[in-house]
This record gives sequence, structure tokens and C-alpha cells, in this order.
Amino acid sequence: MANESLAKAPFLAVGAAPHWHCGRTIHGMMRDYLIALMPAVAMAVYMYGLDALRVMALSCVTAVVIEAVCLKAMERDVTVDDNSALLQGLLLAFLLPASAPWWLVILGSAFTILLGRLVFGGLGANPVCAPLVGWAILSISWKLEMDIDAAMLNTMLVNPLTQLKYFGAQKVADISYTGLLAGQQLGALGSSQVGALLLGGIYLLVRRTVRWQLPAAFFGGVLLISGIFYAIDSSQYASPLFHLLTGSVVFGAFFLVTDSSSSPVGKAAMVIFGLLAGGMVVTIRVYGMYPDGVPFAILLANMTSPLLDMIRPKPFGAR
Amino acid sequence: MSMSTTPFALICGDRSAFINGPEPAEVRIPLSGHGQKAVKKKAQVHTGMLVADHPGDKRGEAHSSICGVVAEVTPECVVITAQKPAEPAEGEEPAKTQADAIDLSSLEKDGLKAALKSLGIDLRVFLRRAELLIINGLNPDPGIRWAEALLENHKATLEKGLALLKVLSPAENIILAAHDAGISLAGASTRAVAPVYPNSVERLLAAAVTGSEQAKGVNVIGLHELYRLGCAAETGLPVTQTVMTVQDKNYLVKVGTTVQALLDHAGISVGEGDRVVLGGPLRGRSLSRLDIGIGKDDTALFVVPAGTYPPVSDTACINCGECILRCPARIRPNLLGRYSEFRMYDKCKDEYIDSCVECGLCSYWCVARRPVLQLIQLAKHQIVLQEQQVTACSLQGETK
Repeated sequence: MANESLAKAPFLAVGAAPHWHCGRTIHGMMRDYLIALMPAVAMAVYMYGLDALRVMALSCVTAVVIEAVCLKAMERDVTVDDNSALLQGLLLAFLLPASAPWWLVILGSAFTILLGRLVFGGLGANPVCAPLVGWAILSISWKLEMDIDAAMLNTMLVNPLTQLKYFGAQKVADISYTGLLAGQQLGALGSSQVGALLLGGIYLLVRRTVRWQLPAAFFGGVLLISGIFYAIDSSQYASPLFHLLTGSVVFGAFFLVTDSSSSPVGKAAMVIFGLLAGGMVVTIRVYGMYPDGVPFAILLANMTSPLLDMIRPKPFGAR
Repeated sequence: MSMSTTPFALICGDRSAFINGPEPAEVRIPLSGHGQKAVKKKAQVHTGMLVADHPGDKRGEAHSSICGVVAEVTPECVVITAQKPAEPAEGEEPAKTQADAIDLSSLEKDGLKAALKSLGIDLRVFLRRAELLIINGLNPDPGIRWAEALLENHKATLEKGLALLKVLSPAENIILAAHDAGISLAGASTRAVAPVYPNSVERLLAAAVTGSEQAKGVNVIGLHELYRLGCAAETGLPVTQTVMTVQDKNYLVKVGTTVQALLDHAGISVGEGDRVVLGGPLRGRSLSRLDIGIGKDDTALFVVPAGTYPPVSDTACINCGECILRCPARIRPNLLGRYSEFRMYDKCKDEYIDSCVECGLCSYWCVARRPVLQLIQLAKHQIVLQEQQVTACSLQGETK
């Protein structure tokens, strides 16, 4: 009799409570990020031609292959189908000049995956934003190839940040902000597509894939510190809006600062982290040797995130 | 915020009368630690007749919910097949179909306890030492929808339960925590609480009502339990039915009705790989089979069709921090989950595992689909075991 009832009854799924779920997955999160990057991908190809596509494709493929091979070698589940390696590869490509030689792209992408995250345990275990690790190694080791102005000679675009650095604030005083938004600036192939990235960023905010506190505080930090400089001497320092719309500020705000494992979690901690990173961007731009301070500013801010994570509310009922 | 909190609403505006559950051809009266000698196989039983007594003096007896014949007695349940009582022969008394009612109104505390035990009421929750008694007027989990109907249509029954509660409980103060300050029960003052999960979780509710997270001497009693007590007070008859939300309607279900019969009655079909949840969607338990009898404290039944949600996985935590931001106890479920995974239970204590109220929101929001709550519960269990061992060892040391 027991067997009869078994045959008729369906096999039920069992599991621990809760039996509802918000429906969000790692895969969905990565998909949101990739969708948000698509306008900038299209703009990059439009502005820099097939060269941009070449760099992006090479970086993505390298990232996915390296991740898959390493996971296999480490005898772990090969989870490249969650698209996180693909995303990291694309984020790195966004920070490279469109003219980057193939070996530079492959090295950068490999460093991103290997030293950026796999040595720490893979997705979610990286203490700093992984693509920035790849970027930092490349820009310190191959200065010439990574120098946007030196590497991109066959273009009519100018880099507003090097102009600011070497010719002063007067030179960029009457720059067109709509031009900057439309990507009319020489920069890394993806991160200079400011308008398109802004669009993607809004998509991420609407989908709640990123927490608004991080980009908001990052923008706040940039505006605050550049505003202070601008208020001190507007003939010597560029306007806050100029800082906001040039280089990788918008890219960093939505795609690098928001990297969840390298940013703190608490609401207050997120705001402090964003302000710190944003303020550092302007500080590096004003005093540092790098025209665009964003990658190093975020890397440095990442270092403070374990410290900021110590800002936490008192647990329920704890004395 | 409104977008993300909607699934957690604890009110739904449903005040319609409870639908009668099925007239089951067979009931399986669930037992938990009951004795099994009250009735034998093939015995004739009637509604409200004792089928198993409980050795504990605070635990309720089990009664039949239908007229029929005992088909089987197992440690888990008493199986009864429905059968109309035989026509009485000439000059004979007709067979009993219903238990005799007991009048509870005149009983003192000890007599009342014994009477309620004999009516199948579990007294443990009512007798807890407390100065303040909070009646949880919210639905315990989102998806459950009987609270408003009980408060509105069955107020008199609840008040009768409350009158008994005053005799039973040592508490001096009684507060009804409800979604609307306008709702009242004679004998209790009302406190409005936002009807959003996890506010219905006992420890959080106690904190919301008392304003202190360290409040001692607070006992929270669910509306479901109070209603059960009220029914016993009103009818003087043993508890043989329970109010249940089945998917999106409220039913009055005979105790022992099988889950299968209840689902059939409600017109819900279950397919391969579906999850059948007894209790709330966030804190209930999933069933492996459908021939289980409904107990008197079961509050809800849901079917979560296969493929509705992404499957649970053993992916490593990705440190997105979503659980930390959602945790009402302000702890770090991500860390606790990992410590538990690696059996670092001492670290769990350092990370305030005792603050966890087990609402399940960490698992609900986890994008990696980790069983966070289950890991935390495992760690809690292991810590209790460890502490028991330590106590046992030290006791041994003393006797030497």
C-alpha cells in the first residue's frame, strides 16, 4: 500500500525556511551590470572604431578563459557562466586606450582575474576592485602604452584632463559640457563615454543593483573637494562639473566604487567611503602626477573598507 | 522602499468568513509524545473523543475530529476512518456523536489547567512566567491572512480566551499589538505596530511594544493560540479544528485532515518538484509527503510551484552585504553563515548569534542563494550541544 501511494504522489522539493526568495541571483546581477555597460560599449565603438571592439573582446575572452582554466586547475566548480569574469574583463577594457596592443590587453585581463580575485578566492573575495588591480599593474609597468595621450595620436579628440594638468584651468574653462557627455574627450575607450555610462548608472539605480549611497557619495566627494578648490581660486582650478564629467569619474561611481566585496556595507560607512574616494580623485588630479585620479583613488579607498566596516550598529538586544 | 516591502505586508484586508474545510474520509490525528493506549485499533470513536493522552501536565490531549473507526495507531498519529454511527436498535440509546461540553467559567486556576488539558489545549505558552503579555495581533508571516478576520469577526471568542488567559497567566498587563490602534479587545490595551514583516517575529514585537530590546518578563502569544483558547472557553468542547490560510483563502480545517485532502478541497494541484509549505512562507517547514495530518497549531498551507525561485546553492558568499542591510537584528548573517560552514562556533558567539531572531530575511535576499538562516540555526544548535557537554562534564567533575 505504501508503494502504491508513493507511485501516485509527486516528488516534492524540500528545503529549509524561508520558502520565498527575492528572485535576484548573481547571474541576474551580472546581467544588469552588462546591460548597463552596453550604451557605453556602443559609444566606444562609435568613437574609437573597431579598435575598441578588439580590445573589449580580447579582454573579455581572456578573463573568461583564465577564470575557467584556473578554477578547473584548483578543482573548483567552474562557475564562469555567472558572467562575473566576463564583466571584470569588460570593466578592465573600459580603462584601456583603444590602441592597446594585444599583449597588454591579455596581460591586464589575466592580472585582473588572477591577482585581482582568484588569489583571494574568486568572486566576492577580492579586497580591492579587481579591474583596478589589472589596470594598476599595467599603468605602472608599461607607462607609454598606457598613456592615453601618447598611445592615441591618430585622433582629433583631446584629453581635457591633460590639458588641465599642463596648460591650466583657463585652457579648459570654456569646454562644452554637452560635448563631454557625448564622449567628445580623449580617454580610456569606455570610461570616457560619460553620457552613456550615466544612462547605464541610472539603469543600475532603478534596478537597485547598486546602492545609491555609493555613487551619490562619490559624486559628492568629487564635487565637494573640487568645489573647495574652485572657490579658493577659480582661475587656477577647474570647475566641479568639469571634474565630474571628465576622465573615469562617472564610470568609477557606478561600476568600480559599487563593487560590493571591496566596498563597505553600512549606510554611514558607504557614505564615508564614497566621499573619501571622490575627494581623493580631485586631490590626485590637483597634486598628483596622474591626470585622471579615479583608479588610484578608488584603490586607496578600497584599503579603508575593512576599517569602515567596523562602523556598525549595536546588534539587537546586545548590551 | 515601498517596492521591496510589499511582499512583506502583514495585512491584506481579507475579512471574509472562514470557508469550511473538507469532510475527510480519513483523518490522521498527529501525536507528539502522546501515549498511544487511549484507543485501540477498530475502536468506535466520535467527534471530540479522547484518542491519546499526554503525560506532560501542560500538554493537551489528542481527540478525534470525526465520527469513525480507528484504523491504525502509530507513534506519529492515530488514523481514523470516517463512519456514520450504526442506527440504534429498538429501545437503545443512540450512539454518541459528540463529546460532552465542560463549563470552564467557574473553575479556579488548577482546575482550569486540568480542564483545558483535557480539551486538548497546549498550556505551555500561556503559563510562561511574565509580567507583560503581548497578544500578537498581526499575521505571523506574510501570506497568512486570518488575523484581520479573527479580530473583526471573532472578537467575542478572542475575548473569552483573554478572560481565561487572565486566570492562567501570571502577567499583570496585557497589550494587544495590532496594525490599527482602533482595534480593541476587552481586557487588553491596544498598541499599533506597523504591519510589515518581520514586526510579527516575537522578539521584535516585544521590543516594538516595550521600547526596549532587553525587555525581560514579556510573553508573546499568537492570535491563533488565543482563538483556540477562546473556542474552548466558548464551547467547552475539545479542540478539533484549526483556522488555516490555504494559499489565498482562509479555511476552518478539521484536525487530522491530510494535506492532500485539504489541497484537493481547495482545488490546488501539486506537481513534481513543488514545495509544499506547512506554516508561513518565511518560517514554515516544507513537507516531503502529503499524507500528513494537519495539527491544531498549524496556521497555513502554501504550495510554491517548482521553478518559482532560483534553487538554493552552495555557492561561496560573494560579500554583497545585502543580508547585513536587511537584517532586523543588525548582525552580520554573511559572517555567521561562513563561521557555521567552517564549524567556528565560538566565532559565531562573538558575532552576536544570540541576537538572531530567525526571521529568514537573510536567506530571502541572498543573491548567491545560500541557506543563510539554516546555517545560523545549525550553529545555534551546535552551540547548545557544546554547552550541554560542558555542563555534563562539570557535573561529573563535581561528583568525583
